[in-house]
Amino acid sequence: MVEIDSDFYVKDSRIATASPAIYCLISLQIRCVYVGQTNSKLGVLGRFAQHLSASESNTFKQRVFSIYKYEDIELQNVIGTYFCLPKEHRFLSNATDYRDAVEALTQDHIIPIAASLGMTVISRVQKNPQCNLDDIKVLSEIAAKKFSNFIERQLQ
Amino acid sequence: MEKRQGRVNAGRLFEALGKIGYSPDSAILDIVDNSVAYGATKIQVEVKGRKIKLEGAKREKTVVESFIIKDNAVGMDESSLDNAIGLGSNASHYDDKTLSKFGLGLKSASSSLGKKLTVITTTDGVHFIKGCVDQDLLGDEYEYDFGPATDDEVSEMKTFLQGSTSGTFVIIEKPRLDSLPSIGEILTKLKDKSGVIFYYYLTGKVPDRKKVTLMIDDHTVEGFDPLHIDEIQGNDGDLNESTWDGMSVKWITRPQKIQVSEEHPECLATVEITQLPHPPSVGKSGLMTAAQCRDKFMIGAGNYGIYVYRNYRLISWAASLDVVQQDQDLYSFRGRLFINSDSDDVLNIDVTKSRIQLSDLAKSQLTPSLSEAKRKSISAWKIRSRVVDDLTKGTPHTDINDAIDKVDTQLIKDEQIDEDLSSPSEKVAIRERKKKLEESKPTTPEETKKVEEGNEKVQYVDSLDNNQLWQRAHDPKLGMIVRVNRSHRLIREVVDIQSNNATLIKLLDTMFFGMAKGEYRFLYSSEHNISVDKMEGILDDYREYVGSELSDLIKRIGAKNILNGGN
Repeated sequence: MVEIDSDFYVKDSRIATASPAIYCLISLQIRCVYVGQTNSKLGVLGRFAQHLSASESNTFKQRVFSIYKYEDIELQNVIGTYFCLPKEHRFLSNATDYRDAVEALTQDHIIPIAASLGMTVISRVQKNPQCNLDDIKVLSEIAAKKFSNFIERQLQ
Repeated sequence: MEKRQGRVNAGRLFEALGKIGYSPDSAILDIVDNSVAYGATKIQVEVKGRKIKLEGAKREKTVVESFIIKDNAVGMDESSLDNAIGLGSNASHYDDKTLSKFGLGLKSASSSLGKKLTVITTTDGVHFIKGCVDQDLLGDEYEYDFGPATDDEVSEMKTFLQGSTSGTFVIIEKPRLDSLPSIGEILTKLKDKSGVIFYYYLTGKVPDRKKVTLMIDDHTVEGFDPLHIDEIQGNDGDLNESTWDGMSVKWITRPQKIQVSEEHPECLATVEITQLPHPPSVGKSGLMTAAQCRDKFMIGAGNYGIYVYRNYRLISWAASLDVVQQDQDLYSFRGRLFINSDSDDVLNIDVTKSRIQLSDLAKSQLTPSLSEAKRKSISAWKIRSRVVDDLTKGTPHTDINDAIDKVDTQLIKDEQIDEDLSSPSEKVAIRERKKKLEESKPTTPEETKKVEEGNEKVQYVDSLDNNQLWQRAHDPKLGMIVRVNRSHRLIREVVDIQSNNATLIKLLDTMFFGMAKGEYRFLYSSEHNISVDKMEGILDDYREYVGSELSDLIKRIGAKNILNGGN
């Protein structure tokens, strides 16, 4: 029998409510970082669950398998944080353009920081013309700052 | 299992080393690499010729007699010379800034040029030693001649070194005439390429290194940055594809880091991308001709793409990296990937240091920037081509705008007649409604000017709020225009790619104008008891929803599937 640690802790239940957000997952076991965006009805927690599940939307797992050439691995010690985007139509919309733009620029900021900490950024992002908007740049800088502080804290 | 001594034929092995894909210029420049790597500040390349009379031919022909590469680098002692001429040099002889990789460069490069390699070197300006290997004299054993340099050789070296006390001459004789182009062709390629290849060294931009002077046959080579970054002006350096005048160099992607290996996450490469001028626009300006612009910036087939530099030395010229495909609209696209030798193993660099294979991780971090940069570059080039083209002939946009303007002018007149025939109270209500419409979405002065000067009733703009695809605007005198969002996924991923399809462009312009006109009619002649402000609010929401849904649909279907007619 494999024993699974079943403790669970949610600091703020808003993590399970629909809200546009950029999030960052890190695996201390594999030493990788994943940056993503969501507006899931189940919030960041719902998206987090999908990433670790066996469903088709488990992109985090898929990227781990693809980059590290694993055939299968039980992921352990995966932790994450998120940054709420303003509840504006452009971020709440079905079209992902504005959330994609913040996600892509956030990843750009995170790469050199992750590298200096010996972590690999495995997420795949898409850039678009919205990346040129000043407020998108500002939001991504704030998100990246929050994520890099989080990663540094976890590695201490 | 017993151990047996495998057979080695040194002569054949040496010859085979020369057949790993070197061109004459790349082989010579690989030897120049050694000079650069070992601290030379002065390097000279000479290609000497001699006349021969071919059997049956009336005239004599000049062919290569020897290649000579001279430098004032640190020189070699006996052990280093042994290592340089030996096969598979010891890696401990190379520091982490070296341009070398397998210790085979000198042998394979020289063997591709000729059968006899001579190296004369000094570390102190007093002792001059010489090593020489001749493939014609090699058998099973790998043996080479070693001894002091002759008086003539010492004298020639001293003349070259002038003030330096160390240096090396590499001389390659017995050239492989059957595979060598003419001396002129070799020299031209060397001059054209070396400025780009050693750009950082020739311009003194390598940290802790003095500027290198490289002479090719008495011609001093100037460093040439294929991205022309030094020409980017001040703060306004980022490319805005819709306002770019085509005259100046712009940033598409400012320097950005990517990781190249999941096993060594600390290994970083830097990517940067610029947009060079648009030669036809420069030509029209009269500052220089389009041809002079192409020459100055080296714009043409084979020169657009990603220039990969390793340790400040170019290793891959205008590579596609599986993203930058053949497309004339990318002629001004110049990217650079800058890597250090700590990434060699993960990038899988071959012995000629001219090809690299990116890891999946590097590709996944690099592709988003390259794809968006490519889109911007193509869009900028196409817009400029249209503008330049406009000066001589119409485009689908100008043709359809002219037609729309004619029809719309008539519609405005009809509307005025209807208005005049209304009852006085109705007339007041219509005028108030009309005024509100005009005030709620006014045109900008630039937009009004475009209508006045070019009948532009359909105007493409950089972006619209919240991903709207189109939006109305009104001028009290000139009537309604429609703005179309160039950043919307439908335009940038589908329509822009089809910009040569005149029918599609005219159809879309007509449709956008028609949809905006429909909104206007709905608001202007509405019999609903709802205020204009409220109806405008509903229409704004409607357009935002349409914009979002369309963007989402195209993303899910895939622009390629729409363009290729698949799925």
